[in-house]
Amino acid sequence: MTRTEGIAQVAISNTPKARRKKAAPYLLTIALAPFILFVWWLSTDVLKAVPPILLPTPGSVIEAFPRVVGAAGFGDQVLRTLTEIAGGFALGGAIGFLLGILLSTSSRLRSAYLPFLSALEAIPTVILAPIIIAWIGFGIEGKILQAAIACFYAVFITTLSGLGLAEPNAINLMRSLRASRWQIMFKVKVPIALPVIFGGLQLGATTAIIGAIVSEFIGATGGLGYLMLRYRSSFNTPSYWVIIFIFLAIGLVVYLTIWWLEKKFVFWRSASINRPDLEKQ
Amino acid sequence: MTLIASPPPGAKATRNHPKKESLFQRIRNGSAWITILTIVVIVVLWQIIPQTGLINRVLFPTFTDTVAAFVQLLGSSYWWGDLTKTMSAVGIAWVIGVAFGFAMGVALGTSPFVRTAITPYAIAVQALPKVVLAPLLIGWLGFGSESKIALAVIICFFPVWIDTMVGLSLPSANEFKLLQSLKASKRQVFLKLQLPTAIPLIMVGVKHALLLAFTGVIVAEILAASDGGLGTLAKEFASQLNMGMTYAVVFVVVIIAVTLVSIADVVERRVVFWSEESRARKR
Amino acid sequence: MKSQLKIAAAIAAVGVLALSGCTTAAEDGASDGGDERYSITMAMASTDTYTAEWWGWLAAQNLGYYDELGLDVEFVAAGGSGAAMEQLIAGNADAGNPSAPAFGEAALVGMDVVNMFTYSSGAIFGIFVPEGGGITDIEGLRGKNIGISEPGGGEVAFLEAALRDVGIDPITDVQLIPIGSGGPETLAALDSGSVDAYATAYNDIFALQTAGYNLTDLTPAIYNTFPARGIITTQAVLDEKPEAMKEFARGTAMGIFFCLENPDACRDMMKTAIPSAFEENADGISQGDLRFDLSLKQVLPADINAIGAHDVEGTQEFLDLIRSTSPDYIEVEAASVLNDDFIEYANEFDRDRLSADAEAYEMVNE
Repeated sequence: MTRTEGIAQVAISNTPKARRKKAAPYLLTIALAPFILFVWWLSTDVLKAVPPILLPTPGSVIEAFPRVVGAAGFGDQVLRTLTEIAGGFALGGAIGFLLGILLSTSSRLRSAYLPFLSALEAIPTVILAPIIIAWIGFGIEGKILQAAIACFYAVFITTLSGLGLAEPNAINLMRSLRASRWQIMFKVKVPIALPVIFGGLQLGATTAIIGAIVSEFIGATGGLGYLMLRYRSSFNTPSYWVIIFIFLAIGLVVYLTIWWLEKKFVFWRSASINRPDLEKQ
Repeated sequence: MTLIASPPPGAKATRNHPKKESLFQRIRNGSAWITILTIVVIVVLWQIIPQTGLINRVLFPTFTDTVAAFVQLLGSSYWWGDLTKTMSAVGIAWVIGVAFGFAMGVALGTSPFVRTAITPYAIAVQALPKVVLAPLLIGWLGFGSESKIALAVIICFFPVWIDTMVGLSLPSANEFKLLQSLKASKRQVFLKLQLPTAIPLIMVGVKHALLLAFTGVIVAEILAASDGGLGTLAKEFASQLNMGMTYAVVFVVVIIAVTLVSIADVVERRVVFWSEESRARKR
Repeated sequence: MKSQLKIAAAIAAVGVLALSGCTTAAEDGASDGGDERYSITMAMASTDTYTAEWWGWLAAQNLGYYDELGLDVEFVAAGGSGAAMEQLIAGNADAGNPSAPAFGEAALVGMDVVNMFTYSSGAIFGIFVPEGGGITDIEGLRGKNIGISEPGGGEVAFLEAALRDVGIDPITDVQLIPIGSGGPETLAALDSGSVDAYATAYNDIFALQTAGYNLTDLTPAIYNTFPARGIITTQAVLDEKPEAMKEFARGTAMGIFFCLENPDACRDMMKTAIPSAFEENADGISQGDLRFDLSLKQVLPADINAIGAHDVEGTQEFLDLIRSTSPDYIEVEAASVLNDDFIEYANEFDRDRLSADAEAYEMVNE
């Protein structure tokens, strides 16, 4: 299990009694929102502890919201960023998944190439940006590639770990039934690994979002990250923060979507590996 | 800037990462040859392609040009200063990040209720590039290295926090029930059951925090006020279109990152081994 | 449940404390010292504390001119012009040296900003085309892709004005593409033909030229006379510590004078301060030297006895030019954002002594 799944895990429970209990924490979640708003308001509006150019007042951000969203071409910018995220996630996720499967088949390949892939992960994407631009230009393809690079490793490493989860007995059984390597991979290993891979996908999605935004900071012609820079360069801090909140919302929606997909498709998850049931503590 | 997923703790028995092999073993089973061959192929391509005129040689200097720049970098007067600045910031950020993440994990991880309640906030924040907080942090902490350390802390504490939180909830319900039937106090349950079980997972978070602290500091040095460092150097050389030197710095960054991960791997295996052994003894 | 509330309360308390810590942090340094000594935080608009152009400040600091005027000046790297401006407005720095466009934008959105000392002027922005590319004048840019440094970059206003002057609509007749400030992404864009021209700050094209990429300068002459950089502060700081800012102006004028007397001495100091900027490339050329040479012309004041003096007319034209690019900007009188209270005082220093200092300087590097 990965850490992200761990947090989502909390919400999974099927008994009717637990269902009522399950809702209670989310009441606190909702209650926290006005509290955060209050602290923000207190520190900016009332105590004036933070200069508005660094952190605007809640009122000014709310006021800026319709202006930012209603600006001409805003929809196109959002669409562009979402395309980058989706494209980067699909590309990076696919590469990560396939590489994970490839390396899981051979311990030689694994010990030979894992260091290279980890090294690639260590290079900050901002350093890669100029190289990518030089290579494929300023178009959306380069941004998709950056988002893909940002997210492939999470999917790759979880796929690799997940594929090691299948019990040797299950694999031996399949072998005795004369199953091909291909069949063992897709009938036994992948299904068992899927819950773990989904954890990697959730992480990968958030890193794809970051990768897409950061790619728009350098040499972009549009997108929400680009808009953000524009607002900052004209000292329009409230609008800048509106975009930050839009990013927070995108992150949450993407995460929940993947979590929902996982619940929908990986219905065997609780049977496959011994997962902690946090509700019972 | 990116987070790395943890390997599944539930898979302890079938852990995918094989025991680190010695170089001798690696040569015998062939993986070292694959590594060496790959490096040779990359170096040869790196040397030849820029000379063919297919790509711009200013942007992509040859391997030998880059090595020459690397030597020039190592011979410079400023290089040690910048390296020290970056690495001390990484060290401080990592220690604070781990401590803070662990404390948050313990504070919130022992209470499923609070954990569930704050999860949506944690996720939303996770998907935000933390660099956008840089102006606020500079306003808070001033222009010195504090602001870049803070940025790295914010980036790196997350996996420790989440892994601690998840790790503490790993023991099965039966194990909890058993200890409760023995009238163990909450403290005892935490120290004797939860923490030892959580340590392998926490160590994964600690390890990732190290890499994240490193990339976090580099990113802060490139994109915000920074008080010098390797990131600033890379940016300076890139702005001069001195790509040989830029790649030399990137090369250093990669070497350090791989070294850090390797050291962390060793430490992790020691600690995890120790914790599993001590658990086994107590049983 | 109780312990959970406690935890929540503790987190909240930490949050409030941390946020309120902001004010206290901003206030120290303002009021220490006795009757005579002052301290100033100067936010430098770059990721490094100095760039090759900022020798006036470096020399004054290194030679102890600020110190002898009773000033402790802390020069800090703020990251860039926008970031320096933000921290200045936020009250975390007493002064800064953001570029003229950042200063202009802040003034035009109604921020409390004042230029108290003009450091350099002239030839800030240029419009360039690759040599031998067939474009010979601004009119030739119609229908082309033009590279700019970044969205909302300072050069955009100049470019748009230059285009309009020859009847090209900057919105519909050309396409503007951000391609960076002369680094690898810029070279890639020009080299691949993604853009046909490049409008940017003059300093940004050195790297391209030394990389063997020659550009033709199409900049109309009228855009070469604007103020480039100054000591930017806020009215609030001027009201709070006029004495300190007055001495800061004088110390800076002294530093500039020294360097104009002995540029090699200042080049030498600069090499010690930012060695990586003077690193030679494969062809043995250093960007630091090129930028230093250009800056000698840009910092040279029109009147050597009025170092730091403003060009009110030029500033007004400059502000009006930026204002023409967006309906959101307010009208600003140049005189209201230029403060010349300290210029006279700044120039009342012993020039003969400084000339002697300049002659006596001993080189450190090679």
